[in-house]
Amino acid sequence: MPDISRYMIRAALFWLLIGALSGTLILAEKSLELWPALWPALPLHIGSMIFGWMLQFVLAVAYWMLPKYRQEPLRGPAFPALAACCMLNAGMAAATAGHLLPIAGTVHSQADILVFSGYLVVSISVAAFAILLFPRILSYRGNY
Amino acid sequence: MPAISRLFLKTGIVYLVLSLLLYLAMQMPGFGLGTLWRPVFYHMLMVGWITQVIFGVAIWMFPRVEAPATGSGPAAGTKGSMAGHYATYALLNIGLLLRWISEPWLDGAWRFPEGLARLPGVAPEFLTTAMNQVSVWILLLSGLMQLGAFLLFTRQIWPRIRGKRAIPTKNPRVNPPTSKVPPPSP
Repeated sequence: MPDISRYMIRAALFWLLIGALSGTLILAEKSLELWPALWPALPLHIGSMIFGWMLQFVLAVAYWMLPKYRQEPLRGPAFPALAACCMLNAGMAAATAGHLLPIAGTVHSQADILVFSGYLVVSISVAAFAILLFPRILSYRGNY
Repeated sequence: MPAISRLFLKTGIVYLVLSLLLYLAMQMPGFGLGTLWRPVFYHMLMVGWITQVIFGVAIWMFPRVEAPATGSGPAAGTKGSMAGHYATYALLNIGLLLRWISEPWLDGAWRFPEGLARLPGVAPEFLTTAMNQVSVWILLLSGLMQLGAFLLFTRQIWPRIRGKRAIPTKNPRVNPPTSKVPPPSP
């Protein structure tokens, strides 16, 4: 398993736990009605699970498992992949901060900008991975 | 493919079919279940299907455990503790089933049939009141069980997120090949 896939799978597991923890807190609020201010964490739960966990895990395994090139670098240039990995997680961190700010009582417009810029960075990183992975979707035996 | 992976994948496919049936029931004109079942649908699809399939494939395909440095942890060369994987499966699926019962109840998406409250020995509204009280705790328990399943899976799979095992060198001077000719007897 290449280093980049390892970093991404570990980060995906981190986001899985963040998403699960926020989901559990929301369920606790839904059942016991202890802290209504937790409801704005619902987009954090959804974003962590879809982009941080599932998307990142799938991209990491695709980067590891798709057919390799016949010569070095076997999985394509490593630096753009590493940069895309960092951008994905930095974008998720920014979006998470944006989702948490309303709970802390910050103005919504500032939080919205943070959330938007976070998911913009995530989108750019996913596009970068698409460009990196696209040529590796092939068969060694030609088209058949 | 180990049995636990087959179990995860087959259960995931069952959840996929169930989630699509539920979605159809929600969209059925004139008889739609309505939007109150939407959280159940999303979690059936995202946790019941996708996450469960990811767990099953990860347990199957990830590199096997290396020898632990401290002497603790799962044995080297295995796919981790099978008891831990089965515990993850049980926590995740029991948590999901408890959620299907309690969350729609709290949202008002389903109630006991009216005939049930008229059974002899059952006080009217008793079942509904009891379910109102119990479902709160069932929902909380379901959330904690799912969180426990994710924590346990992370604990189990973490040592297997690693690179290729170092291939031992075949230097004949370091490891001379054993001769098939038996040594001469004295």
